[in-house]
Amino acid sequence: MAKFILRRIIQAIPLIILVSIATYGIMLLAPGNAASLYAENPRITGADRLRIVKSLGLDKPWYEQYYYWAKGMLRGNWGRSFASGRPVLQEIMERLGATLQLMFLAFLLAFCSAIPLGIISALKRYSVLDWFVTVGSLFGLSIPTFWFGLMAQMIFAVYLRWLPSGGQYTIWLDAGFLGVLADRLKYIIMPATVLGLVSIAGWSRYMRSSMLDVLGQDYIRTARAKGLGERAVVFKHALKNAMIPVVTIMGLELPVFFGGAVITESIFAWPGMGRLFYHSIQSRNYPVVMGIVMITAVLVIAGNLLADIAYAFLDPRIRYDS
Amino acid sequence: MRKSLFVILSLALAAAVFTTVVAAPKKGGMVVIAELGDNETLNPILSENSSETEVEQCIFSALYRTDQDTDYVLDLLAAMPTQKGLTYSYTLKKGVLFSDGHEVTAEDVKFTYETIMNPKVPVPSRDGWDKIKSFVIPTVAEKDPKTGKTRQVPDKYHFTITLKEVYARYDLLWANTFIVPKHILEKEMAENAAKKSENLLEKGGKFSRNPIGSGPFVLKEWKADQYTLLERNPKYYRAKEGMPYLDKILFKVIPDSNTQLTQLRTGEVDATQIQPAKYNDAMRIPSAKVYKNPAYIYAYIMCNFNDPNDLAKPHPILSDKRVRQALDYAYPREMVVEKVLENVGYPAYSNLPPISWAYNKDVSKPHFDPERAGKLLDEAGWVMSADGYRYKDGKKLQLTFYTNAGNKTREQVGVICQEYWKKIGVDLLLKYVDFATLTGDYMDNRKFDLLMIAWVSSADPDSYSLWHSKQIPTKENGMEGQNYVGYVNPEMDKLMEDGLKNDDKQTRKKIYFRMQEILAQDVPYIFVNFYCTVDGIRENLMNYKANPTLATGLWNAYEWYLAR
Repeated sequence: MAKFILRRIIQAIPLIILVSIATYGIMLLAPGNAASLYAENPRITGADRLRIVKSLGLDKPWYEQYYYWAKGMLRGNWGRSFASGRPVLQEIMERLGATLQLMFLAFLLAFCSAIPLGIISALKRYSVLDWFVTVGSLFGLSIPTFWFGLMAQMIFAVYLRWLPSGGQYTIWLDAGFLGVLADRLKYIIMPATVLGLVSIAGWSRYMRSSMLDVLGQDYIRTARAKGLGERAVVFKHALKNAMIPVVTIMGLELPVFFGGAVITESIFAWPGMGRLFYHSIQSRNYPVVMGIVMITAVLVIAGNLLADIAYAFLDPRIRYDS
Repeated sequence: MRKSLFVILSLALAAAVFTTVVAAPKKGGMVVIAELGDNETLNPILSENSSETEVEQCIFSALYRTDQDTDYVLDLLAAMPTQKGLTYSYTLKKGVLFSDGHEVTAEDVKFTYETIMNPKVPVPSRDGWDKIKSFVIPTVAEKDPKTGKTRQVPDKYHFTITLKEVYARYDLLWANTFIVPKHILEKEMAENAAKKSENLLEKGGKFSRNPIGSGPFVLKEWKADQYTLLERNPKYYRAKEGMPYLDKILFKVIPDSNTQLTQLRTGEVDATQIQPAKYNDAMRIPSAKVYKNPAYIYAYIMCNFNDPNDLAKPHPILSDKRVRQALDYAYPREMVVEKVLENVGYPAYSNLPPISWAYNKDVSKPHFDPERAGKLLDEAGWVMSADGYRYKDGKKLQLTFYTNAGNKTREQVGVICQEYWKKIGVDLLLKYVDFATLTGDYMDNRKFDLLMIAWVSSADPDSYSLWHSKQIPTKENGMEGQNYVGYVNPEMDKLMEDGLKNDDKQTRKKIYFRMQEILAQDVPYIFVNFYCTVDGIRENLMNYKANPTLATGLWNAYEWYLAR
């Protein structure tokens, strides 16, 4: 297993380098630059913008710029944001925690809702509950995150006043550990649910069909024939095998959480990386965009590696040692 | 008689006491303001975005500011400067302190000017500052307390500035230019010089994150991308009058305009800008007052006088004045403001809004006349053909309209132009691209037929960089100027030069009146609309005065108070 993990990590390195070259090249190919946003102000002339471009080193050819960026990265210097002048790593680190919190909770909510819902749907196929879950899934898959987020905000924050409409925590809260925890939960629950909604819808469908597939297998019939209780059949034998395709999907959908976070973070004023990413692309803030792409690439690769390791636990037939 | 006099007097006294008690601003409280974006830097010399300007209004002081009627309000100056020829003499207030206790002196003002002009400081714009020839601080005699000898020291409160030539916009230069502390910044600049940095001041530098000013508030906490918290400055020079009345101001970063409105509704913020499209929605919030403020921002469609494929040649279609006039006559200006903008904003006929002192209302009349447009195109030789479009020498009257995708209003205007101009035989192709591409590529390289964008203008009517023939930006002249359409008119050139060389308001008014007449004839831009900014303010926040100039609505935060 250890050798397998090591091999995967080594394989990941050329992949990350390729991602960085492709991203940098595509970004610089897009017309416009960091100074373009000043164009609507007549006091900042084209000459001023040219001056800004030169001072940021943006007039050099793209491979030269990439070389300096890569050299810096290898030394641990991720460059400075064009917007705030602060180190890119600092900007990202300040926000990474918030994004990971949101993603983790959304993932957890999706997992804990989708798996049981899928299982129950499969066991009680064509029942009323199954019908509700199916329609609910279609609903969740069809609704744009943006609309759902705004609706949730309207209902829970404006009309019911149960939850705050945005932010990460109450700024001047003076409470003990439990008080702070409760406060944080209040702020994160809506954005996490909105972010996880699409996944709940998708994963429960996969779980349902995967479960149905496994329950129709011969060894399940054998287990039942042996006299095993239904509970043991489902949870001890069927579930593990049914989880394999679902785990694959979860691993593949990891980037979706990063991307979906952009919209959710904007609506709920959540200070995460998604917002920073979107804003940096719009303002051609290359160092920040590259920093976030690199981190996201590493996290996606790590996530898929975890998914692969999970297979080994789920399916005894899968072993990575030669 | 005496009894009734006594009653009247007591009633009068009671009324006086009552009104004083009721009208006197209450001290205390916090106001929460929503911002669409975070500050990038709080060093005013490096600043350009509006979120940070709002925060800086509270932390720093300027020599004077522009108020809501664009008149000047004294801040650091004891009186407006006196002028003799090209020399202006200034007198500062005595005893104004920075929040760290140092006094604000003429040295700080001189330092601010020198730092803006310093080529190793990445200032976004030096426009106008290069017209200053010299900045002189006279010396005064002072008795050294230790030795008793008299020596000459720089005058702390007086200075004179001499210009190179008459520059009409000079007054506006100092308005809202914040004075920074020399004793702090020169240390930071020396450190950066020793480190051989590219720039002597950086957006990520110490002062950018920990600003020290002489304004009504000080920075308490700045959590990146979340909020900026300001507290009352106990050393503020108007503290004796009780100002600022508020204890704190919190700027909350809320990047979505829908969420901003929601938070105004729930009470989580007290003040926010509102999208014009949401004006009617916002009016329904019971606890907030909504202000519609005319602004110096206008949207327009620029017409390229040159061929975008070969800028040395005139545009095959748009270089003919009659075609441009025709497009202007066939554009439904008033309908767009009424239906698309729902009257949050008003039709534009030139680049000066009705709130400008040089506004010429005689040329600002509705003139929607598609019939006349058709006749003009006939005269220009564009003949209507059976397919509904006009042709000349075998060429179709086809033009491409560029604007930025994502701006709903501009996208809609494009579609409306397509529809209305089709009726006069013009085939309009629409091309929507993202903003940075629009400006960085199409606008900068003049690769367009028609391009819709907006200008954020200033309170001064000077439009030299827009209409002067020497202001057509090319790589050769270092991209100087904003005459992206390539407009060349010797009469206009002279008007623009005279407008800057004169500082007599009446003379300038005549000049800019004539400018507007010429613009109505030559149509280098098809003017679309003037913006109104919409602000939602908690109804118990008193003394808020919306300000259309660069001073922003925060210009008088020192006199804000909460009624309850």
